[in-house]
Amino acid sequence: MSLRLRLLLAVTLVILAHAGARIMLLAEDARTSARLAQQAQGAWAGKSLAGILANPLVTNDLATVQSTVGLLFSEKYFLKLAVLDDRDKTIIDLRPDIGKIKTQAPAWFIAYLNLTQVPSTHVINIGGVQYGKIVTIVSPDAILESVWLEAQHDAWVALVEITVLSLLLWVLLEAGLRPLQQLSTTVQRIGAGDFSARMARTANREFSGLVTVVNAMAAKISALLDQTRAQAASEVQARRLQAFHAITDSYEEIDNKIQAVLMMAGDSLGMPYAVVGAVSKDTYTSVYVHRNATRTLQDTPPLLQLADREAMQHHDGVYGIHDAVEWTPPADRAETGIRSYIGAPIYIQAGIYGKLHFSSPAPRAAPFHLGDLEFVKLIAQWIGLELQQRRNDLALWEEKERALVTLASIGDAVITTDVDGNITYLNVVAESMTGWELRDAQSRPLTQVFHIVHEGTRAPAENPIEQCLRENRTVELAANTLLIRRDGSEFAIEDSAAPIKDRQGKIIGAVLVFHDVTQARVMLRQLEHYASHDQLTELPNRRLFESTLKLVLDSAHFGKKVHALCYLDLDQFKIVNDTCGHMGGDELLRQVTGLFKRRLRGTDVLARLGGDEFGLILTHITEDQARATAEEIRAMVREFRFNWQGKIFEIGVSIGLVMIDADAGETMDVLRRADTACYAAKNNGRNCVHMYKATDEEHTRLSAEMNWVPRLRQALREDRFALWYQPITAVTPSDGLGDYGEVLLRYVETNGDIILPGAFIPAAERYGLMPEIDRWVIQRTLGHAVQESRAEKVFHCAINLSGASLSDPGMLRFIQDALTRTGVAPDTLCFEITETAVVNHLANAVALITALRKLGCRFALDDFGTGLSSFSYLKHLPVDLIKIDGSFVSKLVDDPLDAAMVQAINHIGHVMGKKTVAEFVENDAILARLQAMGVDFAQGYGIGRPRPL
Amino acid sequence: MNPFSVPRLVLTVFLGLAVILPWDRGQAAEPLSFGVLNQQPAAETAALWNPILQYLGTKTGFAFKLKMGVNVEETDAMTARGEFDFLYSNHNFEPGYDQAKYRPLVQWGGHPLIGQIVVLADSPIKNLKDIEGKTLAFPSKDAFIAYRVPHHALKQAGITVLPVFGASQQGAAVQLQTGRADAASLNKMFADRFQAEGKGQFRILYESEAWPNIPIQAHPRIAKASAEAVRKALLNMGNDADGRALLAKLKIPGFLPVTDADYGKTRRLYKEPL
Repeated sequence: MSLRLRLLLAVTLVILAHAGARIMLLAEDARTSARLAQQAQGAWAGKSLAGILANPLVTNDLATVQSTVGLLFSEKYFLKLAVLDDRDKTIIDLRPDIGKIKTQAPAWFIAYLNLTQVPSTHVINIGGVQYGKIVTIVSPDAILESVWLEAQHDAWVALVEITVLSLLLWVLLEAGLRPLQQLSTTVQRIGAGDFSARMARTANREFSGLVTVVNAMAAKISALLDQTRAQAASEVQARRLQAFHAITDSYEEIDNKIQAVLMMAGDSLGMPYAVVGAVSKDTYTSVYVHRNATRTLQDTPPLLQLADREAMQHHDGVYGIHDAVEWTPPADRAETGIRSYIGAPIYIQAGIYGKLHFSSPAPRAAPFHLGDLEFVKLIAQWIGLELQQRRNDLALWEEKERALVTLASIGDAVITTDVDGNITYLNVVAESMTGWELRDAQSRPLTQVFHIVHEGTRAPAENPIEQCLRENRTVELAANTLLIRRDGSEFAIEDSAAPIKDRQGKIIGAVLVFHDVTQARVMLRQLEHYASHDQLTELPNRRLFESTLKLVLDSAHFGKKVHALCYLDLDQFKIVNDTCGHMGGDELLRQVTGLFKRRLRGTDVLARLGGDEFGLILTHITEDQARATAEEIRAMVREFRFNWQGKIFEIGVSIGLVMIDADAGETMDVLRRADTACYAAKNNGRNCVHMYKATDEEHTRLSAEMNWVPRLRQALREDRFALWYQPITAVTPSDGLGDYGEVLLRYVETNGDIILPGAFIPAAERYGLMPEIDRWVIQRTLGHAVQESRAEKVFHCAINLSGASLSDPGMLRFIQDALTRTGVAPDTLCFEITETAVVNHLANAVALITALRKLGCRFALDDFGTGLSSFSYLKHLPVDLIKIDGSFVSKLVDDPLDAAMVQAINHIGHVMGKKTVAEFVENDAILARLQAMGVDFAQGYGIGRPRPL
Repeated sequence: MNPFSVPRLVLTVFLGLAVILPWDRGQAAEPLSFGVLNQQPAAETAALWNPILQYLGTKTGFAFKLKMGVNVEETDAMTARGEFDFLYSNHNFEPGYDQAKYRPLVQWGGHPLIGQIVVLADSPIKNLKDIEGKTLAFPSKDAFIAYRVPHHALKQAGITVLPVFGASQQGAAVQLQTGRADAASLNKMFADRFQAEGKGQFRILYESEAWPNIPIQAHPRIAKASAEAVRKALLNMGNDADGRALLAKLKIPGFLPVTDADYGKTRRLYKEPL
């Protein structure tokens, strides 16, 4: 009997003994618990029955007692159930058939347990009176059943325990005995000549020593054998290498050299065929070397090609050694099949170039050994290097040719130097620009040939080659560098120098590339000048003036200096311009500039800010001096007479003067103040000097205007303007023109308040928002006209156009497009423009008015009579209506002078073929006077108040 | 044969005495039977009355045994046949069960009997006339104060109802609460306790006059002295430590004096046809 079985048997016996003892104890427990359970269940049954039988016993209803007990009696639960009356006389006594016990437990088990019968008696007592007794013997069947089930369960547990323990024992024995089996196998393998056989390490302490000894012995034998084999192989290898080096040393031409090596190797390996195959993306070419001949690829068996190509794709390392390649040649081919084969990949620059293999139609007598493969790999590697060398030589030659041709043909000058800065090469352009030929310049220091100076200072510029060699980086030539040619002529040049490095990154020289930028530099200078100067007067322009002003402001702020700024505006320039044309205007500006210059000191700065506006910075000056200077200039201009083609013009200048001190603020603040002062000078009757004084009122106004800007922008975004409408009625029967109305603009506050335009139009005009607002008004008005037309009404109206809109180049197109899009008839529209707006933008205004009148629109000149210009302007203005300023009309009845003005304007308007409109017609008396005068239209509260459109 | 021989004389005297002397069962060895009306299950009746009977035995020297039929009809029949020496019932006032001529000794203590007709507190029915043609729940036809009395009152008022029976006071109340009846006829004592326990709230449409409670009566064959002894013992329960302890334990009010005349109106009502 084996050790394994003996151990297993012993464990099984122990478990069985344990299970038997457990069942005996269980039986004893079962007897006790059966007795207790019978007592408890009997008591419970008696108590329950007493409750049920109480009523019939009280009423002495014995039939009910008997029938109830009969119903409740169950053989399953009771061995006896009896009821006695209060005198212990039996009312009923029930017992099952003895021995009729129904349980799953087998008879031997019941006999073994030998459970006893325990009677239980319950007395029925109600209100202190005994009515009878209930005697029960509870059946032990249920207990027997549960003990049987428990015994079965225990038996199962014992069975599982035996199984688990047996398995565990089996596993332990297996683990313990395995090393012995391994030892047997290993010794058998070594005996059969497999010296690589080793025993696996084991955690088993008893066996681990044995494993170590056996493995050491096997290793020793294996090493001795390897040593013997290696010696033999290395001798062969040494002979092969000797032959290989002899060939490579004796041949010059690469192809011959390869062929000789291949033949030597084929001999050494005992393989008659050698193939060097190159793999490109799609093709496979090969040199096929036979012992006695070199043939081309066509003779290579096609199947072999396919096999090789797949091998190329699948093996990135050394090819596998095939003992045989199955291949049957076609009938018309003389070659025999390949029976043995050895090969290796050929790499060029880490990429695969192709492969080298040797093959033989005969199978080998002995298998290839590692030395054979190493030898093939060595040859493959050598071929790769040889091929690489040949490629490199070719590429280098091509590269040099390409570089030389390129250098000779490019437009830039190129000079190269060695690491010491001596010239090694000049291209043709460099020869031409330096005046040195290559042969003269070669080996000379660069500074002798390439002589450069700073354009401005004429100081010698740093040698860029030296710098780039020193700093080991590409350097740009300093700006404004001039190259002095050998003959002394000069070129403005630009470009860079870069170090030349060898493969290891070591500097071996430098290259200097440059080109002639003389023309470009001249043009750049001109452009710079034009960008900062006014071409007409050669004065600094606004941009340069503003940057100069900033410097002056800084000087005032940080240096506590005091300066002054004058804003000069020619008073009659527009008249000259309109009368004499642009050439006349330009000439006037040039002459006035000359005049101004006469009074200026060297440190003062005069600039033309645009149109007829000039800026003048008087540096380091007191207020009185500044005022005096401004006054001198004004007087000088006043005395000046401009003569153009025989016409003499008197010129005036309005000068706004503002002092610049430490608190002057920003550039734009100062300019705005000067502008404001100039505006005031104009308002004061022109041709005068106005010193800017920041009054509280003015401050408030300006800041209020500033505040309006964001509000207006937001209102435009949010559509928060409203259109109102004031009727204009025909006073005198007129031809063609009927009643119409003026469209008025209102700003709607976010809280819904309505703001009149007087509050925000000045700000909108000052900050350039008017064109946008005018567009909004036009768009909305036309939209309203479209709505009216749907109700078959014609909406005649007048829309105000600001001065800025008149000179807005996009305004004409906008109005044309809007009319086209909406389909509103142009003759229902009248545009109102102010005299001031027209005068300031006369040329543009006339163009716009003319174009829109062609379409059918009408134009009215608003606020006529209050403006600055004379009636003569009216002649040039193609308007249809004149709106007589309300200030004359409102006092018409009481003031004869106003009445005369209205009369005159009306008369002149009619003479010129224009209709007249009176504003501010506040009552019937005024209306009656206007009718008498023959004024065509009336507008005012007396006619109709403005109302929302 | 000598008619005056000693044995004959003794027999004659004995028989003569037996005829002349009133036969008093109280002196006999058999316990006196005490019948109780089936108002609750027999076991509960026994649990209540057995301690009282034991107390009575102690106080009077007689032995009593509780006796009752398996149902009310059987008990009533036994009553009519005069099978009980003492009786706790009022059914013997009903014509047909009154042959035995029991004599009232005491009545059940506590409140007098009062019957009520009630509806749920939120019922749209506001007065008795509104229940005309409606469903009225009674405990049972045997209930005196909750059926016989209100039934008579309704009849007197000319109100007809659709009667349903809930088997007990509780059952009648549940009929009302579950909507199977529009009104319920209940014993006032029960109705008060039901509401006090938070089981529901009623509105009273009708309340009867007070009626004497159920009496304990003696059969005419019981000697007056014996009956009197029983009466006194019952009435004295409240004055005796044992008696008080028993009343408290059983949670019953004790007994009150009553006369036969007190049940004159009860008898009259029973004579009224339903």
